[in-house]
Amino acid sequence: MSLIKNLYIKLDNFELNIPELSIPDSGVTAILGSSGSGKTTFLKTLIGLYQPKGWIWEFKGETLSRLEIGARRLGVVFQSYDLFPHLTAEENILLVLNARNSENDRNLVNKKLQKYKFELNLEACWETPAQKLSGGEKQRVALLRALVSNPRILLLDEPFSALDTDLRAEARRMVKELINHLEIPVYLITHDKEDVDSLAQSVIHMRNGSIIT
Amino acid sequence: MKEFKSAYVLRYSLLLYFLIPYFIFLSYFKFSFGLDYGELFWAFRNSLNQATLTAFIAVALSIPVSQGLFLLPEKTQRWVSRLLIIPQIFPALYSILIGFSILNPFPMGTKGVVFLFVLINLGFASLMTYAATQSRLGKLSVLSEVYSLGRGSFFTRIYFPLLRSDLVVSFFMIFIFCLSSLSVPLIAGGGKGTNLEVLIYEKIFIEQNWSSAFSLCLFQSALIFGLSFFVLRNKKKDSEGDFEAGNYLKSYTGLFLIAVYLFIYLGGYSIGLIKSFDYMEFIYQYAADLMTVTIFTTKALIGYLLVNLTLLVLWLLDYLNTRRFNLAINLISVSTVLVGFTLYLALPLTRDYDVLKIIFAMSILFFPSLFKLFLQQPIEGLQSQIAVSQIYGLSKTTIIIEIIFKQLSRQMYLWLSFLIVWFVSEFAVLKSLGVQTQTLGLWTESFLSSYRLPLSYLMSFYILIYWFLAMLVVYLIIKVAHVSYKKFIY
Repeated sequence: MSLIKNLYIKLDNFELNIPELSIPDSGVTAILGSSGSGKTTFLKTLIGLYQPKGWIWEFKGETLSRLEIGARRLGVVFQSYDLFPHLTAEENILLVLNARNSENDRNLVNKKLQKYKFELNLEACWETPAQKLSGGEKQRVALLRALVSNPRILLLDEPFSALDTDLRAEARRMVKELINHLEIPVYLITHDKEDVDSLAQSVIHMRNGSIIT
Repeated sequence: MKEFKSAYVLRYSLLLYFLIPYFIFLSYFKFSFGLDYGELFWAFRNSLNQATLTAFIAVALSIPVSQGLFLLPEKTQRWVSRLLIIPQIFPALYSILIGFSILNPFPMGTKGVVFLFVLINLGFASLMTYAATQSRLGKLSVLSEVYSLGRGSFFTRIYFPLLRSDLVVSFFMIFIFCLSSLSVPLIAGGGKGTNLEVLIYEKIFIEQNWSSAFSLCLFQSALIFGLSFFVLRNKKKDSEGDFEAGNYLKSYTGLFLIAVYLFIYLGGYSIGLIKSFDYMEFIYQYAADLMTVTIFTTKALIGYLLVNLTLLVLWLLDYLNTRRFNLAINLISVSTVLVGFTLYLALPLTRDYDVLKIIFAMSILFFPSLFKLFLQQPIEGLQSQIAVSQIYGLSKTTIIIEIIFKQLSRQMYLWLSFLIVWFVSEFAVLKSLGVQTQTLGLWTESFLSSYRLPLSYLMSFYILIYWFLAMLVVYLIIKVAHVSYKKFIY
């Protein structure tokens, strides 16, 4: 179990207060809540963009809350995907792959990369600048970027909300297939019950900055 | 912990660099009780008159001018907006030249100073009002038309109440700019229009009355800081969503004012320059001196650019450490004469120290404002990409080169370009530094203040050519550096 303790943040008009929370170390855990419930603040804190005092986040014997952003070794797919728009799909991925993996690991990850590239159907847009990719392609590149980063935990922030309704079901199926084979835990931040039903094994509900039990 | 400490050291060292003039000022400070209060109030009144009148006229005219912009097609609006900002971001030297050639004889004193300040600030004020209208009014003008509110009602009940705080901020921004400006009142103020900045300058360099200068500097800086704090505190509220300009927001009078304004500035300069070509033979007499001055200016410029690039890299490292810009970004309206005076006191008065003084003073005065003008917003626009890069552990060098510089190359060139032209044409800072060596800016000013207007025009054109060539060299150096970096990396 990953353990969070004493997480308290006060922003302009909002407070996030999580005295204690356990999250499973495997499978997909959905953090479900409507807008304004505190999901994004929670996600930003896990990533390290907010640094509240005195909180603890322990994962497999390591205190992640004490680490700098990069050292937490997380994989993230944001709602807006946030690819580097001036780089191609390939460059987006290689930039992260080279930063996160030692030279020895790179060959191994490269093999995985070829497999994922095929599975995610990215061959056709591999050399296209990110700003010219379609919404679905952007999502798949962002997912692949997160996977090659060799993450401890994969965080998915409303990963389907920017897609058209028609594409969503297909995207959910693809993501489900992919993360089923992963050996790392996935935290799915969403407001959509359908995401939870199709992907998650456990659910944490949030409302007004607190966890509802 | 070690990283935290180095981030802390970097942050405060950078801030300290920009605050050095104030520390020097405090270490030398002696309050003079023997101030000539009559003189102080007279100069203060001139400062207030000049700043208030300018800010009022510029903000009042900005309302119809911004509405003239809304009449234009979107693409033309963008182009005209770029032209309107030129008088503000271009060195004051050019506005002074234009003013002197349009008004003959030029009304030295408060009238002349106000005319030049309005010429410099009207475009800027109009763009502020234009942006505020878009962010505050959304579709309210269209809606007012749909409900037949009438133009008068629209302005009194909707436009002014919603834009009031923005107009007040514009007013004070221009007010502070005028208050801290030395170049315009120094040239156009004459004996009658002496303001506080010029009075301090005269106390130092003409009367050698340093204790009075200290007291006046303290008064002037307190005033600027107090007002800047007020302006910065006035944060923008949320916007009203997508903007649609209805007919109430479109004005033909405004369009006419835009045409007149741009004609005065761009047309005025072009006409003045063309006339001055008849005096070309006089400039040949100065060829040898011109070469010496150009070489000195180039030497100083190289040092200045290196210092600014170093500051930029450190500034970005600081931003990546803390995810917010250094506090020094707010030091955009620093008193020119205070910076000049303190470095004049602290460093020896020999030619050898001129380059050092010039580089130091100009980077303190220009770096924060030019960064704010060209780079702050674009870098903030990359915030989420920077966060993603940090999440994936990209090194700071990679983030700066691959993410920031690569995507903001256009803004970087603009930033460098204005660093160069501000530097080359500057004269007021150099005068307050008491430099012993001539630069291109000082030379142009000496022609201007001795009423040799055509020679001054020719020099200003020479500066433009120098600026173009310097940018060409900078562009080539960056291209070569980029290719070498690529080869080294891959």
